[in-house]
Amino acid sequence: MTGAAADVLLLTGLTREREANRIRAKILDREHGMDAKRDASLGRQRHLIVVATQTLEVGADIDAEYLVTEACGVRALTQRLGRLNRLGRYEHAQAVYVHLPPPKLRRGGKPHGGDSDTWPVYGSEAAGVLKRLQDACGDEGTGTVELSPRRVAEVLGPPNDVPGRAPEVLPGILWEWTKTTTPPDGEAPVEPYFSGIAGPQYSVSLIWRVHVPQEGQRLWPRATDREAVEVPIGEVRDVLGDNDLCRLTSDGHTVEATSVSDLRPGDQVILPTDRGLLDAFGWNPTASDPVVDVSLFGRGLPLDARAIKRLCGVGLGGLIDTALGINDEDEDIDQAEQDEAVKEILTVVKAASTPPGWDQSDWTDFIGTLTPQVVEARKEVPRLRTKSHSDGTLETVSGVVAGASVSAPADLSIVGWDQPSRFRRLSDRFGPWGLALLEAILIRSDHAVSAGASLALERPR
Amino acid sequence: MTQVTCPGLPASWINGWLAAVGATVLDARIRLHWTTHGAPLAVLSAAEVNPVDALAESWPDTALLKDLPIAENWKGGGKLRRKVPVEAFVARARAARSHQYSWTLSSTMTDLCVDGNGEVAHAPFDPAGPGTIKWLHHRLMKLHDQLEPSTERIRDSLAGRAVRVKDNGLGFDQTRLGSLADGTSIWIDPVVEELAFFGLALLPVRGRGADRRSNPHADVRGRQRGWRKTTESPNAYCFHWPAWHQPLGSAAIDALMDAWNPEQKPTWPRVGVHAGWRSVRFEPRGSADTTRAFGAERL
Repeated sequence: MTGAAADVLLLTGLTREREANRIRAKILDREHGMDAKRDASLGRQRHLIVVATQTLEVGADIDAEYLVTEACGVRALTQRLGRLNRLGRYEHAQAVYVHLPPPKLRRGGKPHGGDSDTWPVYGSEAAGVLKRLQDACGDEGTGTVELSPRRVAEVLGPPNDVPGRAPEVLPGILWEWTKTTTPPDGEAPVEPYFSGIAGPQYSVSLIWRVHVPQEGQRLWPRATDREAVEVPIGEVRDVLGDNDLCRLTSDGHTVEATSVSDLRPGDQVILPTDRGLLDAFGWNPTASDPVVDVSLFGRGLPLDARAIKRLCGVGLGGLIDTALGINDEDEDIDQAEQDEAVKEILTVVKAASTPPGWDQSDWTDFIGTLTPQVVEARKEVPRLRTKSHSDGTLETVSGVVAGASVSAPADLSIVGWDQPSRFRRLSDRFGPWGLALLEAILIRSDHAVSAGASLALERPR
Repeated sequence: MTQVTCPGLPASWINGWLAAVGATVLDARIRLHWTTHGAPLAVLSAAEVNPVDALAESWPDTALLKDLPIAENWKGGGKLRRKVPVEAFVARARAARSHQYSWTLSSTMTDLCVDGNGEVAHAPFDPAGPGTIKWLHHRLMKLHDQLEPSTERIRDSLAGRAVRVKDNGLGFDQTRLGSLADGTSIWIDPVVEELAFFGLALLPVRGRGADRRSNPHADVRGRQRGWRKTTESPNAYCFHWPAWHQPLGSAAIDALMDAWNPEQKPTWPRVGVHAGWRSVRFEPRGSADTTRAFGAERL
């Protein structure tokens, strides 16, 4: 196989939802990807090589012809082998198990965990896996083990991973994660509960914006998980050096200046899009190309000279000042002049070429929704409004649930103080996981109805 | 709707505020808001019952308090005193996970922070104390024993006219301290203190997830909900608490505590908050002074 004859994809957890969805779509493509449902008799014009972390192991129905894996534990190896020749269609399927000594830590030069037989994530179990594979090879010296699904458990044996002590999840702690209100300031980090308290992987959340507010200003639009990449805090410190940064305060909305040394696990850091560090495969410390600000889709255009320069490379400083009625020369700018400036800004932006990283269709959609109406909110960047679409929702939503009439206000600007106790009752009744499932069903239904689907509900038997 | 204004529970008094919140925890029928004049007072209300009668009805008996998961002896497990080895905490937590009062563990200590001796961190509202002060559950039982709960006794406490008793209470009430010059006795209102204990239900304690036995430099201070550093107090965690004007049950108070940002005063009206305070720590008079107490400063 030559490099030119293969497509190479990388999928890790250090990826935004937008990029991860695109990579997954290619991996699961019915014609060129490795979806388990792909017709195995179809030939390939190009090979597909997928380099992935365990992110891909979770719930992906893929069927590979070859597998190369580094040293790992019994559970992980079993999962990975399960993605190889999943349906028994590839007689040539092979896995290569690469067992290298554990890597050195970046600082101090000591092996992970201070033990020369300790691998990151898998601890000392990786050595045990190698021993079992070697034992299964026998004395024939072929270095090959037959690992059909029937033999995997027999060869690898039971898992021998000993996770570090994980803290106890008490209802009071779980409740803080369950609530759908603002995350409580200082809520328990989830990492120690997954990876144990001895070596939790602490991370900060990075988002990329064309407009980075000044200290004390609010971020617009509000930050969402969809635009964030969780990066280990040590790596962020190394890459960003001694630079000053902006992060969100505990209200999740207001920006404050900070330094790299003051970063704390869980911080939400806002990077300007021209800082780079993200490419089509996610976090990349060497990437320098501009990053797409995905928060802008359908939201509007910040009326800020640096933001527009970052977005589409045009300088509109004077025009923006006029549009906002700002004048250094004590001359009044009347409304007509402001309106004219706004229209001119819109014309210039619409005439700009598609920004790097943007899809043509996304860009066309984005500029197509902009209107010459300026929104000015306190402590937020002024922006051009987008066209609004009424979804026909009434002020009060009513329905009959299990024979009982239920109505709830649909005006999101009203704080409903009965909602927390209703949520508490639902949580008590269905449990946090049951309620999460219910919410997922509702969201999917909402999306389906919004997309114009007609739903037929079956009465449960 | 019956409502009772409580001069004995001013919002500016940490223990008074905790007690008012504790009333909503103790009886789900009770709602709480605060008067809007200069010195806000708690107003307890309930739809079909007098809130004072409701409190008397729901008042915990000795058997219930003895069965709390933080009790010294509980369900045949090991003893739980002031110094709690992480193994003892884990055993209690596993046994208490489905217990109605599991919050007594999660609101007083956390196994997210373990010190060099392998002991879990305590919440600031579960302070250490010398000699007879012992541990929180011991204090709770002691003050409970000083009380003959009745509607009249509770009403007097809410009105601020109840007779105080000599005791340390939960161990952090600043008003229990008399003159520092002549070492006068300490006095508390056991009704307020016991209600304040139930107010802790909304204040879980957590930490960053560190064990000083594996990382000698780790920050193993527990952080209780409501305690935060602000631009005005950047070097020390202070408890911040609000007063609001809409009647709220415990679930809504819980949500308000998340939505309220003490640093964003212009946003307070959006969640119905009209006043706020932060704690001021009692300054010990010397290295041997183990007194713990929290005063208040209005925001």
